[in-house]
Amino acid sequence: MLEAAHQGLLGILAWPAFGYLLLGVTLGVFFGMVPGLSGLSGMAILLPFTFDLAPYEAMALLMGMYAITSTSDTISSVLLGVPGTAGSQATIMDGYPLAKKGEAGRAFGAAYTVSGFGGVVGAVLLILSIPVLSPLVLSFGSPEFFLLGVLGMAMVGALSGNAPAKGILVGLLALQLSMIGYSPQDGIPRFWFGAPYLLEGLPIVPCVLGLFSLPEVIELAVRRGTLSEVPEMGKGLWDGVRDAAHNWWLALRCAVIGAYIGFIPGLGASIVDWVAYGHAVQSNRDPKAEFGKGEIRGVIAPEAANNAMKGGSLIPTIAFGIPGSATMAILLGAFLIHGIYPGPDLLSTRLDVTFSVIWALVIANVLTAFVLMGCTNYLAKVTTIRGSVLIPIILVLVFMGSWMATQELGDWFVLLSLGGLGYLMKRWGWPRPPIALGIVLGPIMERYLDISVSRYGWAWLWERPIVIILILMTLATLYYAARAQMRR
Amino acid sequence: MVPRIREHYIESLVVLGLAVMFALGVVTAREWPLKTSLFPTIIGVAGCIIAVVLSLWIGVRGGAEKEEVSEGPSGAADIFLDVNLRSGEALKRTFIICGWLVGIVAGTWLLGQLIAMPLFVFLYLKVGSREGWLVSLGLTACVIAFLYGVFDQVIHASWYEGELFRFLGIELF
Repeated sequence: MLEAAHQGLLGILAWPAFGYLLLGVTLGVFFGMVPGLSGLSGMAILLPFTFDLAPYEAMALLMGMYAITSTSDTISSVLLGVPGTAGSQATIMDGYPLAKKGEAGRAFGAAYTVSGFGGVVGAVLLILSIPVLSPLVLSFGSPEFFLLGVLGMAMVGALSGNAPAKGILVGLLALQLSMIGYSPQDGIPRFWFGAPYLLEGLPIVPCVLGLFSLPEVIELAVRRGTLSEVPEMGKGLWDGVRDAAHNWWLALRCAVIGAYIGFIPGLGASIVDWVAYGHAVQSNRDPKAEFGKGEIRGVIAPEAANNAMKGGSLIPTIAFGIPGSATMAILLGAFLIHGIYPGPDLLSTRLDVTFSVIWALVIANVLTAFVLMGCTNYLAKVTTIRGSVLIPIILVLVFMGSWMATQELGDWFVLLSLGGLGYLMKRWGWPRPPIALGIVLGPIMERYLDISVSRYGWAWLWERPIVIILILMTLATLYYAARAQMRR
Repeated sequence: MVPRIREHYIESLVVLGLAVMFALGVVTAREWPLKTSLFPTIIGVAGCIIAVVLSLWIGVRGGAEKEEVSEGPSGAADIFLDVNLRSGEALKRTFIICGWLVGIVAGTWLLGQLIAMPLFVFLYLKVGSREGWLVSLGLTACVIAFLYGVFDQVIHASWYEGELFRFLGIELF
């Protein structure tokens, strides 16, 4: 394991991988900082660029970008009161009031310090989990992996929005969409409607860009106007760093909470900051604390958690091949594109690649925390660019990112179709992450189901203890989700 | 209140449409061998049942539920739209941006990407956003450099030629 860790570190620090890491970090700052973009958009846009890269280089680029969107999204959350990504919604609660009080620098100092800290904690938890997870994963067979897929889809569907039945239906719709094209079992074309483009199946990149980026672009175009109302930041960067050091125990607790939430498929970025914020409020013993009016602990808690969440979310993706979020689904796609199969492969023969991901996470988080402290004033000016100028640039990236899937106009029809679907889903409050997960997980689940039925008949459903546990967990997830919806 | 009521009925009908789609999937899968039809059948049956129940749920209780779901971030996976699209101006802007999106595809089909994409950027900035010449031309030049430098020279992407040039027999790339 130490040898793999050493090899992974050398792989990331070697040129040009380290250059790709720096490029990923730079792009991650942009994707996190600009509202409407996110680590998900960045991952979808960058994925096609990794096709010709070596695995270390691809992981450096993707993880460098992904790791730090939760750090740079603080900029727009604090300065604009607009979450840069879904994971920084709670930061607004106290970050924006701090900025209005002229203490934006203090908020940034605290946020960047705990972001770097949280990212490292998440990565350490990921490392510590490998020896535990490795034998567990190796004891899994096709039935267990299939049921893990079912559990992941159920959790993502049921927990990723506040309308569980809709989430589950969306997940099933995504699995249905994943069946378009040749059957992986015997090559029979399915649901292709006479369109040869569909025979190879729906490409994930245009789907994700359509679902997540186009609705944001439409919203930006409808809303119009400039973004920033706070052009200058007050002093206090180092005050924030001291605040973070003073509240290290809160930051550590929230980082562990964040990593744990990231580990559970279907939770992740959308709730991690709120859970951590809620914990900070509930555990507060200071009668002078005024959460919601510029309390620095209201910034520290969500920012520590949302960076640690990144490390936690990698655990199910790497160990089980079950992505906990749409972003992880794309990362899973990147693994597969480079011939790396999550699960036993990444925990044994390709452990060095796993460590390269972890090192990229650590280096990117620490590096970004220092860099952003030095140049936040300059970077923040990007968010003052008018939406009307940003939109064509974003659209060029989105359309060209989609084009790289198969380089046919069909990619753009998929992009627009899924964009329309994503817009309606967003408007009607339907959760979109299950779609991306379903399209990626569908073929994997079908393969495991086919192997399970071919090898064990249907006896695996009641003869294997882990399968029974997973079925019970799935049923419990569905039961609690249904009960929650009935109460509403 | 009328548009709100209509919208949740539309949503209910869309979900019912999904139920029909799942059902058709199951029917179609019956023609395939077991290995190919197993997964579509399981997903189709489950999806059909849930869609029918959910369609009825939205139809009966949709109005009340929609109040909860659509208004503001509440710990859900998405950051929900905070734009009031019911106003005429917002709807008009939505159609305009959708028109630009369709325009990119139509322009590429006609002229190819290397012409259509920079043309879109320039027109969007100069005509759509009424930006100055410097910004419009500068950003368009950046996009041309980006497309040519990254996609053509680095990635060696294949470009769509454009039906107009095919029709005229002109080979650009």
